[in-house]
Amino acid sequence: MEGLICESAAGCSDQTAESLLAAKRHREAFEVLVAQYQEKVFRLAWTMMQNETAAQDMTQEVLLRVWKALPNYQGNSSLSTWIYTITRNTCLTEISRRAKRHWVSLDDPEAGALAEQIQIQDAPDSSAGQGLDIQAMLRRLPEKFRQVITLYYLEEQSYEEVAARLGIPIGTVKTYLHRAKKQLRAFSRAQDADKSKLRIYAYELCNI
Amino acid sequence: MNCAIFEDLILDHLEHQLANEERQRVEAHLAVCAACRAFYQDQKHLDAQLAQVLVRPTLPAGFKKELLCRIDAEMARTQSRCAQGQERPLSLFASWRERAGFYLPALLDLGGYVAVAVVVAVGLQHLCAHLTISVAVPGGIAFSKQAVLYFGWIAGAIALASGTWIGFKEKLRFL
Repeated sequence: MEGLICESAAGCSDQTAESLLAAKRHREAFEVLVAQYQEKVFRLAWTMMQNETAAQDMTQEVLLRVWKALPNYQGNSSLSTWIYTITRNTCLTEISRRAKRHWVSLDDPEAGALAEQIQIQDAPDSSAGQGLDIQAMLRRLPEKFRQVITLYYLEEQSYEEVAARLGIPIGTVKTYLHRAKKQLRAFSRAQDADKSKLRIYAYELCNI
Repeated sequence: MNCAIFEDLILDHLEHQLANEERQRVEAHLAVCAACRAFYQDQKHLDAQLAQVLVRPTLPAGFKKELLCRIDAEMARTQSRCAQGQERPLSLFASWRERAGFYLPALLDLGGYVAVAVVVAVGLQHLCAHLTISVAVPGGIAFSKQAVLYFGWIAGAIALASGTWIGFKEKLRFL
């Protein structure tokens, strides 16, 4: 099968898939695309969903959508752009669906108490002595910064790959990445300052 | 010296984006600026931490096989259905509830039309039975009481048929 020859050869899969599609050999084209994109789609979904199981479900959903839409692929954009757009849209739909499902009124006393509890757990200065780890700091970043910096490290530190996945210009990737790094440093410094304050406070308490 | 500009250059340097000349400029600045040196060290440490934490997740080993099997099964099911001519015939109604929801009000409508037609015809018949003179039209043609009676029945039947037809057409439009 022509598709299988290219499965292990990097760079030729898009062309192979396109020629198979032109010949109406959708099943073979799909196999080539799955081999080429399943892990990339999974990493993008993982970045957006922040959960491995959800990312797996999204990957399956995205590839099924790709399969169903394959006969209608017009070639207006490259296959990679098309697949990543489907991935982003599928994930965003799922995220908003989950957000609606989990929506609760804060007027509800039980929900209010729960929200307060969550806030206390998330607050940086609440867990004295433990501080924030890097993952907690990443979660505190604005969503677009978090996605860029996460993908940057997952995609072998390539601006181009991150730009392709998120459908944004390379310059924007670089800007977001630098802002994210500066913000992480600021979080880290604030955490260190909190620790120092706590140490001074503990010292003063001991010497009263 | 503006250290804010150097912060971005330091990040570029850590991301291996600088040409030789610029790299040397940054290194010369780092040698004399303690604040930028601290920034460089912090970012280098952060970079190492991020590279350690953000490890590439991978799909389970059987993911591709399972997905392709699912698609093949779906294709086979569709093809066998098509080959055996088992495709579900197009129907206006998806379930018996929808079917009943359409036909029951339609039958009630039909009953209403029949009742109205009967009342009109019977009323006309009674009216004609009590007429003492025959109905005349201009030109001197006279109709007997019996002819008027038949006319009443025919008019009633036409009203019933057209009303029913219009009623059904309206209902079909909303399906």
